Amino acid sequence: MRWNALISDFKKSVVVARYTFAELYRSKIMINIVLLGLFLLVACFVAAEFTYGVPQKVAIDFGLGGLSIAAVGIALLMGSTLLAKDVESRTIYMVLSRPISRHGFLFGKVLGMAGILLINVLSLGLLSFFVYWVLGGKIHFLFFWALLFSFMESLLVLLIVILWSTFSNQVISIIATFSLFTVGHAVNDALANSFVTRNPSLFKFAHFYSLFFPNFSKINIKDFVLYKQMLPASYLIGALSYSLMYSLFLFTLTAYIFNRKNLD
Amino acid sequence: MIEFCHISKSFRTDFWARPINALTDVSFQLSSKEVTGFLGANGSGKTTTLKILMHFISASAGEVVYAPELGKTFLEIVSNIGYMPERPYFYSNLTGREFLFYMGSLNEVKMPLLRERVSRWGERLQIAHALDRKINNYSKGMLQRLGLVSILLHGPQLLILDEPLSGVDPIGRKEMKAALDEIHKEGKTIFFSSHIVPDIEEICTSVVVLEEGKVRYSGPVDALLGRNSNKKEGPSLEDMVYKLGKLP
Ligand SMILES: Nc1ncnc2c1ncn2[C@@H]1O[C@H](COP(=O)(O)OP(=O)(O)OP(=O)(O)O)[C@@H](O)[C@H]1O
Ligand SMILES: [Mg+2]
Repeated sequence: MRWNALISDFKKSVVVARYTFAELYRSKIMINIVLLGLFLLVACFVAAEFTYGVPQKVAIDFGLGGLSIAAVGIALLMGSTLLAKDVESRTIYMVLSRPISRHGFLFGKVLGMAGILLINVLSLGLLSFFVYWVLGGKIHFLFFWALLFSFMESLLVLLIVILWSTFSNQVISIIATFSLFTVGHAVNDALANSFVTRNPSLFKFAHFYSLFFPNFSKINIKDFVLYKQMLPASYLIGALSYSLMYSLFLFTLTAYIFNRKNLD
Repeated sequence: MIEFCHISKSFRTDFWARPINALTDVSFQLSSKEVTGFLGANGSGKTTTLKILMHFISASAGEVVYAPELGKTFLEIVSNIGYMPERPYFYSNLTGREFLFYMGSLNEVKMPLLRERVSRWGERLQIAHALDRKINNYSKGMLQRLGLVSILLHGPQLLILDEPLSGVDPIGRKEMKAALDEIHKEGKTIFFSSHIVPDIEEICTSVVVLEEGKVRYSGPVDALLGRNSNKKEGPSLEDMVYKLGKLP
């Protein structure tokens, strides 16, 4: 009985995801991705022209950096308006007055938006790999891990900004999420910094931070990709599990709040 | 079919401000297979009441009791209800048809039946010609029509409509009222809010009058007018409601 209810709720989440995806796919967000992709492509070639040494590396550096910025930017835009836009347009009432649970609705929304992020990461990623390959570079399997981690990075940003948007407005949500994003990228560096390591309380704080707040540097392997260092499989799997677990935690927390929220 | 028991709701706009009492001790019943009008001035608390009924917001006190025939769990209950919010806007980049398919799929209406109902109600409510256009090009009245179609797709027992007639042109109002009448004759229960008295007088059998968050009257329209159901003279509902409002 309970399983049937769960499965039917999941099916409806997929319906929500499908139409969320369709809606976003036709919106201006996708035009931005295409423009950014073209810009990136041109920038890759130009930058590669102006570098002595290894033009391919520049292409990959630009590509991975650019797609990460694009994905995070889109995640911030989509996530911060998810609830506000749906309440304002009253669409949320149309959907939630049908037999779907609130967390099922939220899950569908996240799923549809994750689809947009995936398309974005894949298209820009494959584009920059292609440029890299044209310039004579060799494709490395770590490239694909870098893409996966870029996707996970944007998914985490999406979930963080949705969590913030359940209790504050759009501007605050974006600023808070962006701060967490920036600090989360600096955590590992801070932990290795001699100033921090020499100061026990500061070190403790940085350690504490990395335990509870999102640690984005864990899933940032761009430097490794660039300098072709190998990464042990255990690290990759560990970082992937970390990002998955953290996403699950964020979703559960958001769903808990959303299930109890007054929608007025 | 649904009973409101001593519902109160207060909103706290600011931390330091005094809470606003939107609803105070609201109690009334919706009888099944009747068309009940929900009458009240702007800001009297109609939308708030309907939002509590749909569990979008929680009441500060009191409870809503749903008849067992609607279902046991809230998800079951809600699958027998069609709810239209006030001034619906919906998704902009979907076409009308896609939106209807979206809503119908959430109610688990199977495809062939869904297609048939979309075309039947689309035609009936004069929106079929625009269904393949994107919703962001729709006018206010077209959105209302689309909204009404979207809540009829799963054949709900109970329709809850928040000002379904606002923004609709005179011919549209006539069509929508005729459609509501037809649905009523199929044995469905309808509850709709409005601040336009003649609309309610025309199609409702019962009425709930709300004023500043309190129920002023609830019962048959005819009893309010003090006349027999077959004798259509006497004071108009408009006068009666006006008098109700003047009571201390
Ligand atoms: N989210 C909210 N926060 C604070 N006050 C609110 C909120 N929602 C409604 N109110 C207040 O509750 C009262 C009732 O509002 P409601 O929207 O239910 O009125 P209504 O009868 O639907 O009016 P209308 O005919 O204009 O639609 C109003 O005084 C309104 O200001
Ligand atoms: Mg209202």
